[in-house]
Amino acid sequence: MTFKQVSSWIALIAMTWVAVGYFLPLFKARSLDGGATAAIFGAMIMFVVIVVIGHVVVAIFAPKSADGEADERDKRIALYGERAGSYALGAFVLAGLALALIDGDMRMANLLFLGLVGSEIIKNGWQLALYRRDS
Amino acid sequence: MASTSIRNQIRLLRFQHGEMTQGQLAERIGVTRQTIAAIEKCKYAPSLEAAFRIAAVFDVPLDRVFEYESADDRDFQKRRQKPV
Repeated sequence: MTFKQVSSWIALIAMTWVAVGYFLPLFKARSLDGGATAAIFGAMIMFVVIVVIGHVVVAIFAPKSADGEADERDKRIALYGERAGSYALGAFVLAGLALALIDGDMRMANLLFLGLVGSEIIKNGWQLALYRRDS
Repeated sequence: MASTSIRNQIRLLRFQHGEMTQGQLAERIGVTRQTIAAIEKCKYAPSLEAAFRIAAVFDVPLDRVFEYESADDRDFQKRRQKPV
């Protein structure tokens, strides 16, 4: 396994653990209205801590692989993964936008809409810049 | 990743070059051992640059290392048979 592959495993396990820990009570309560700011921050901090500890452990036991940079295959696989993740992110942002509009929360709706529009502007602008650079 | 239409002789060439290991070849190309293994199993088509580097390590022309099996490339075959 390459270091990048191990890194993906660590992130997947950490995120799954944190997500189950956070969302299970909400799922049991059958409501998305529960939860607390502190719990969200706690979950985010827990994720970072697990990922850092995981990477330190790997670096201790396999220092050679930890030194290696991502090669072209790692980068291509990472791009495919990013693309799949972006579909999920986009779908949830759209769901959030719809919910904010239904609730009349225009501040949240505007922020989510700005995120959607902004990411599209960055994506297409970046693509055009690369096309221009390579032509 | 899905299998590619690029066949290769890397395993044979490694054997002919002092039984070079995948790790040794990977180090000289600047990729991971797993990438060399994926290329050998035709699971990953390397970049043109990496392909040239592999050929350079074995000191042979590119077509001694890689060959393109167009018959295995279904998408290409479909486009080729399309009437103009």
